[in-house]
Amino acid sequence: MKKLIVLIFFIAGFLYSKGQVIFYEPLSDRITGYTMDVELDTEAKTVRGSLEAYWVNNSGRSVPDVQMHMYLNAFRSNKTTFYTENNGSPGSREIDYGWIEINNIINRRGTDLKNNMEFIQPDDGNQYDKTVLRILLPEPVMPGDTAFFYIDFTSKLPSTIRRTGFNDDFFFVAQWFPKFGVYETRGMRYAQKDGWNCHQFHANSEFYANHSVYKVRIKVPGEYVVGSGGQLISEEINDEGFKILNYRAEDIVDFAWTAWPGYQEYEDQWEHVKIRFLSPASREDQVERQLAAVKHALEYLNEHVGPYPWPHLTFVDPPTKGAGAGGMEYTTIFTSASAPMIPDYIHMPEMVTVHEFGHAYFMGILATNEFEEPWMDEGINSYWESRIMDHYYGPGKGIIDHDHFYLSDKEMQRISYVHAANRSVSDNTPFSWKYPPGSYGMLSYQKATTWLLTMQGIIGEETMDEIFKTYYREWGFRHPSTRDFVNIANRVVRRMHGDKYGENMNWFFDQTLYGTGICDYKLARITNLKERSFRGMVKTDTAGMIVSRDDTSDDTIYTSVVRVERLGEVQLPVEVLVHFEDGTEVTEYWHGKDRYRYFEYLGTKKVVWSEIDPERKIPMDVNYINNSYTVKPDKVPQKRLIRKLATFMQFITHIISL
Amino acid sequence: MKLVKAFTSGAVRAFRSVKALLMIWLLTFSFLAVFSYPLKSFLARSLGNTASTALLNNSFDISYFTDLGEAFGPLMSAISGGVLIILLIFFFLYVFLNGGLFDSLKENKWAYKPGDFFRSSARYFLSYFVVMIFVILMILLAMFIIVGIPVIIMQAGSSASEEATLKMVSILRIVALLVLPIFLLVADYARAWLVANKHTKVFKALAYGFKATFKYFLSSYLFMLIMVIVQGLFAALVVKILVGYAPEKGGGLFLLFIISQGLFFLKLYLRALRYGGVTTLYQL
Repeated sequence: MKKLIVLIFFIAGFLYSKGQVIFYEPLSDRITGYTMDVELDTEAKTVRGSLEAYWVNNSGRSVPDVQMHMYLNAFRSNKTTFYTENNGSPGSREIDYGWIEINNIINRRGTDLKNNMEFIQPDDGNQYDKTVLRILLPEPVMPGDTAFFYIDFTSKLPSTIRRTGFNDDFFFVAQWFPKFGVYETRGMRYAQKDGWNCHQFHANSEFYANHSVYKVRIKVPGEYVVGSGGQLISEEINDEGFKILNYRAEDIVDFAWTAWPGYQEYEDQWEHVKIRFLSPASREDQVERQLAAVKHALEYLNEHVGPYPWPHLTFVDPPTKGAGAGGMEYTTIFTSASAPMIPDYIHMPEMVTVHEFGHAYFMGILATNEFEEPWMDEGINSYWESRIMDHYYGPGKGIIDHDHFYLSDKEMQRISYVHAANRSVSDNTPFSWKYPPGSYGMLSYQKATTWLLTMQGIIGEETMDEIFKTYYREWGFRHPSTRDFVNIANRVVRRMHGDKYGENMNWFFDQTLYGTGICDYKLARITNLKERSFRGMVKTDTAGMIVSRDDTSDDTIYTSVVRVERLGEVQLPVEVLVHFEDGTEVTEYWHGKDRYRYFEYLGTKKVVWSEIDPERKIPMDVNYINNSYTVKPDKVPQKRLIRKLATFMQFITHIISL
Repeated sequence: MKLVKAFTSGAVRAFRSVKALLMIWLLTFSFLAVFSYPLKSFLARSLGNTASTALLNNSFDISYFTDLGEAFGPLMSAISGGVLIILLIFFFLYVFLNGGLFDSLKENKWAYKPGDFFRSSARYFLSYFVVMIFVILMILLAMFIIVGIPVIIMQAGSSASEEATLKMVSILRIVALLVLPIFLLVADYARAWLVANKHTKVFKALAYGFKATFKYFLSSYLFMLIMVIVQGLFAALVVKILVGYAPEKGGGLFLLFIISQGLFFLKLYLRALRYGGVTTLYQL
């Protein structure tokens, strides 16, 4: 009987633990894992608790140390690298500062490691920066071995919410626990030798981490509503009125959570994904559109890139006081950004939702190094954002869809790049904090998006999809680099198009991803010259007489010449549409390498207008207005615009005169 | 009764001041044409022989402006810089012309001469200018007190819910709108007083403006509130027509010109009706 009871308990325990597992077959190598038991102190603005963390040495060498990110120390003073780079400060009050302290740390054998800790500054040597912790191990971790750490820590959240922090009773808890860097083995990405890739927290940078398993127990005051990147396993209120929540998350690169008493909870389902949306009550009118947006993104990326594997997804629309936490991503939890009463025709909230969800793929599944190659998450993700927005909200109307005013997501990205004064200051290869001042966002987001859209214009959407599907298949739940992406693109383009675009696409990447040049094609001129019929003296064979002769025929023949020019450095293949007076059209293909080229036509019809890249396949072209030329320019639209502007001015000036 | 009288008499006075209104229209139109011409040339130069002006057929399509490519930046700064100058110049121009208009409305006769119009404009320019500055400052201060301060206080107390803040802002906006006619009345009474007494004493005029506003408050306030609402609705109609109508031929452009200037003249008339109504109330 006793044995039977033990057996029943064992089976029940097994089934219970199996019920918590999300993926029976791990999606990633899971070389790191974290089990945490923490409590949010809403008065002191701290998260305090214990952490059990492991790291597997999957290299072929013994490793003498580990390096951990201590991100919250970026808010420790105004001299940290984070604040030095953005010339800011955590605030004027003590409560404004953020920091993280390890109160106790031991290894599996119980050896105290506190004296083995030192802060290092691998990026800039800034001694005030304590965002990277090195722990010298008593014994090296042998190849294949696992290092365990048992840590008691306290995280004080900063008040100015920059991705993480608090404001009053609102908390967004991110980058909040001691977290392993990534141990890169030789040949992985650009590593020349085995070693830790663990950068300091920079102003213009996001993160890099291994896919991990997280088991997190969170204790908060009972009235708080909590959302996290994990799957909720259990929730209870204890005798003291505290809420205890247990979460589990698998194969994600970071674990973040939020707590605020004012959240309203909304739930929805998309195929296997249970969606949970947390939003202030005052934004009820935004809920439906936000849920629709996230489902659009799920649907589109599943179809065009690869499956979203997790069965859970939480997203948050922070209240105004937590707006600083808006627009940030942590794979299975992300924050959107909206406001009450945003009109339906403005799709900015949806855009943020689509963008931040997209990071579940580009950074979450395809865990690129955001410190070193920001274009790979922000640029690629913005490219997909533009495709999704314009697909679901109307071509040309992805961002604004008003009767008299509209803007596509693609155009918005393009404008930000092509009209930027510093559009040529750098290529897309610098580390995020090494971009020239003021250029990080424009180059890593908008320039990358624009050249990816240009690439799509050249090789086609189907090929682009195939590149990303292959990229997902081969590099999902790993750490791809720029080189890996380029290799896949070259391989797929060659497989699908043969030699059509040359041996590979390096000619394209060299000019865009690795280049700083400008693309500008111009339709310089159209001339229609009447072929002159013969008028003159000829010698006839009739008795040697010279007579005048006129060969004018009824059909007037024209020589029409269309002149196209390349003004920029970038050389891309373009189409040239030529429109004749009888309505017929010819599309010419130009490799775009020469400085200029003539297209000549001999016939009875004149060329009326012509346009380079009529389908706008080359959004990198910095000036569309010179892409076309007409022999009969229509001045009516210009005049109409001026008249309307003038009339509005008439009314406005009269109104202000009271 | 006073209210009806204000409207009817205001309408008649405005009608009789049609010559003054025509002069105002002609002057402001000429000024605007002077500013529009360089903008038109700039646009024509930037566009050259491009075929993409067809995009303008979609009215205010931002894609069109982005298609201006390299010219986009200079065009925008030209427009924004130009707008500020135009606003300032027109502000002075209207302040100047209002003197003549008020005088014409006071006289209430067909035979009012253009010479008298400009003489009055010149005579009252400085005092009207000071009245305008004071009234505008008062309006801005009132709006700040009514809307700005409560919102700042609510924002500072971060525990205030977003919903409560929103409701508060909506209510305050309505309050601000209801307060606006009072300041307009002060401005109009002050200007009517200056013209009626052939004075240039600004502060006395402003004091009278306040006194008259509250002395005949009900009829004055209702009159002004109705005028503000009517002019607001009229502005909405104008926007609807101008944005919605996009002619594609030269004839249509001419029609657009006629419609837009017709609407503007109607706007001038409504303003004159307001001034005329207040002048009537002043004279009652």
